[in-house]
Amino acid sequence: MFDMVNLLTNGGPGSLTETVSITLKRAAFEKWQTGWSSALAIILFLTVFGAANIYIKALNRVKQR
Amino acid sequence: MIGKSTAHSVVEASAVSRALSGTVVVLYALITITPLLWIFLTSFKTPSDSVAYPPKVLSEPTVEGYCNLFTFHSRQDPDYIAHLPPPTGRCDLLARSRAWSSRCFEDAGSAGQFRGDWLRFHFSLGVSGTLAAYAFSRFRVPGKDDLLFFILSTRSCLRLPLRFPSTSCTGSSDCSIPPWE
Repeated sequence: MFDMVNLLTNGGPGSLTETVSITLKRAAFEKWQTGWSSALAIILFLTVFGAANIYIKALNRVKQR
Repeated sequence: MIGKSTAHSVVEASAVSRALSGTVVVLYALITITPLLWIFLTSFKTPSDSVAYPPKVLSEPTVEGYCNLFTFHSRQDPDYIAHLPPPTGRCDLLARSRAWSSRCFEDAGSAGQFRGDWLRFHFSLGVSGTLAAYAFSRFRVPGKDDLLFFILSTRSCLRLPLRFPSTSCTGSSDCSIPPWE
């Protein structure tokens, strides 16, 4: 969920419509908190990767029944 | 009499073309994984090393980025830091070396609470979005066509109609985007 929010509000007004990917972009390329945003990117990647893996394995198990 | 068959497939890839395509695939994989590796390395760099020019590929690793992500820190004067109790962990020690005080979200008052809630909310949003996308791709979902048409049409839509709700209220202080942007 990045392009739509970036296009419509850019996370504003303030940070009311900010999603995690918008925060990441703002921290990295506006505030230059590169280490912080990289850490956020890695945690986000691991979260989504882990959740997707668990989900796919569970679904495949259901399909095999 | 049974002889050895000499039949072969005319579309079977030769050893050279297999090696060539394998090299292209490996090269492509390396190119696409480089940004991810760079992000991973940057997450363990200090703020100055992460924006250093010329870029530093390897530097003294630090967990500062992760500490700042999961704790609330605020800048303090040296007197305040000198009177604090001993640091409780590595993150606290790192924060104090930069003249910050570091606290858990829950202990940091309303600002820290907001930040903690915000992080939890967005991570749960990311996880549920991934699961929803997978469900859309694999299962029969009621109203799937309409929902996907809505998502796709708003993505391929021109900028102006999408901006209309925000441009229509530009006169008020709530809107941050001018209509001509």
